[in-house]
Amino acid sequence: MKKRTRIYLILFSLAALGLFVYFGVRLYVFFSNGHGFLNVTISFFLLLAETHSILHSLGFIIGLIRLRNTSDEHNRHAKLDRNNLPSVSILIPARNEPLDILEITFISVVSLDYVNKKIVFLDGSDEKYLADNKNLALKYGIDYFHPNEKPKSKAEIVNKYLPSILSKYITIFDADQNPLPEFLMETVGLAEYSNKIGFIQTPQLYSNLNASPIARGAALQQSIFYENVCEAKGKSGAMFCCGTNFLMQTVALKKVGGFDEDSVTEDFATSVKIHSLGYRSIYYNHVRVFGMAPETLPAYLKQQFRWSAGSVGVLRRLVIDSWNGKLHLRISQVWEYFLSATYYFVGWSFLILMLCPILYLLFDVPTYFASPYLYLGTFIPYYVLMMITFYSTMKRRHYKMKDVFNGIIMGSLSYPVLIKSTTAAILGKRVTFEITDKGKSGKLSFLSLWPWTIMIALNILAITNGLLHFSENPYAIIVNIVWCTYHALLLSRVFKLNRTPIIEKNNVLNYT
Amino acid sequence: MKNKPNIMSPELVLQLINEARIKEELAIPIYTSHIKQTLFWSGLPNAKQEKIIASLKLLEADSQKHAKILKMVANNYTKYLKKYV
Repeated sequence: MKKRTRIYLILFSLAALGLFVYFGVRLYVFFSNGHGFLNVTISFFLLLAETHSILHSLGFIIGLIRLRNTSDEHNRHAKLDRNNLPSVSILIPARNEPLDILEITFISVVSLDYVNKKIVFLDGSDEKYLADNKNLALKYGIDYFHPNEKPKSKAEIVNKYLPSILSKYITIFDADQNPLPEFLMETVGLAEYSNKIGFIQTPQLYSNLNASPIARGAALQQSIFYENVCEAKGKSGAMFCCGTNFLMQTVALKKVGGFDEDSVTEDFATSVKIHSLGYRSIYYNHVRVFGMAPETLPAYLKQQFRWSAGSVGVLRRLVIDSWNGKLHLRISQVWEYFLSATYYFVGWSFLILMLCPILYLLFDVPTYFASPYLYLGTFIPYYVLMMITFYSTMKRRHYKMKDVFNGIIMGSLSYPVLIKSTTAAILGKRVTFEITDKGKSGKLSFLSLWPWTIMIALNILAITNGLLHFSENPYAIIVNIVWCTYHALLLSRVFKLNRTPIIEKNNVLNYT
Repeated sequence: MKNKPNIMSPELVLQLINEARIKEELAIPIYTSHIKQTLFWSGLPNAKQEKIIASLKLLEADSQKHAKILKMVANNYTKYLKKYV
């Protein structure tokens, strides 16, 4: 074993140990300090929030340990005969996309280095766009499909076209995704190795980083997901389909009845069904497609809303189907799906973690905050070890700490949207994300920012009250004032991010 | 007995020439643009990154020349097909 690998394994083990010790202490504190309804209720919710972050930290550590396994079991290629390549249908579903974005995608898809391919543009756009879209498709020799009835979702339009697909594989690119020429030769090579491979997912890399701070933050968040999280999922054969930049066996998709139209994250829901049939999935961690990140705060929040509502919606069905014995997943797959589907409760977790220091400074609950020694003695080591583990893995992949931190901040700022979407998903309600966009500027109106503004005001109020009563319990008050200050500063970032993107001349993606 | 050689149809040849022209003329600038924007993630020293960007510019210029040649080949091949096939 290499020295560096040994160091990492020691670090991961220490982080796991810190995590278990902290969780044990938290359980002890909860059960030994319970008195008073309000105190017990708040402590219970805080314990739930911390359990969520502890579970996901544990999932992250297990994933990192799995990544140490360097076996190429999931990356075996079959040799392809260029004169006898399996057929691939490339689908580009789109709805009301700008022509210039579509054209760039068409060009890159036509340029895929693969002879036996059929490209189809699935146009779900409004009437006024159809003629121009059709002409553009024809210009690049791309087949055009527009269903008689306007499709409600991406899943629906793909499913409508699915019966006419005779090729062995299908691949889907969203309208703003630009594959590199080798995409198909490499993914088909992997898929041909075994007919038990249901699909192969490749990463998304956003290249419009300089378009706005939102685009940069979203790109970093995506990278954290596609680098560590997905690679670990791939190692346990539980990588789910992300809806674009993947290659799938047509027969596998047809066996599960096409993409799941009941879910807003049809890709995630369909992956569960494909895995349940015994197919494996592969995560091919090589960037072979470039894409575009959301550039404005409303666009970013809308994306987060859809992903969270879809993932939690799938969790609800996972529980129901498991109960009815309809799911046949391996334990490692269940664990990975559980982590993915519960991740978006992070919005709730963040809200509770923000509220507790405020409640302590204003109302002295939860009471165990009054004796911070045990808490600090176990929380600080756990937190520091987790941060070292996280940053060291990201640094190894050449990410700057500042950028990684910005990505995390953006995730935290989504909390009101995540709370709304996960609540709706648990209740089984289909909701859309409506938010007041200030004209066409890509900004949220000041009134729409109330969830962040109120929390900032509450934090300031709590800090003021804490300072006024500082002498009563200086150590506990200072700890909670630090948390409130940190949260207020973090939330105030929303005003900086809620700006119309200014694209500098030198940084604009300049397509000829 | 010798196997029959795998001969491409004139339509497929033209399609492949056209795809190659699109790649040279239009796709290469797209790839170049994406790579330039994301190169900082490679972790390479700045000097190396600048060198790569300069090489990409050269390749992009070369690709435009290739595109012109491919256009000429496609035109000549079409004329040939019309005249002799």
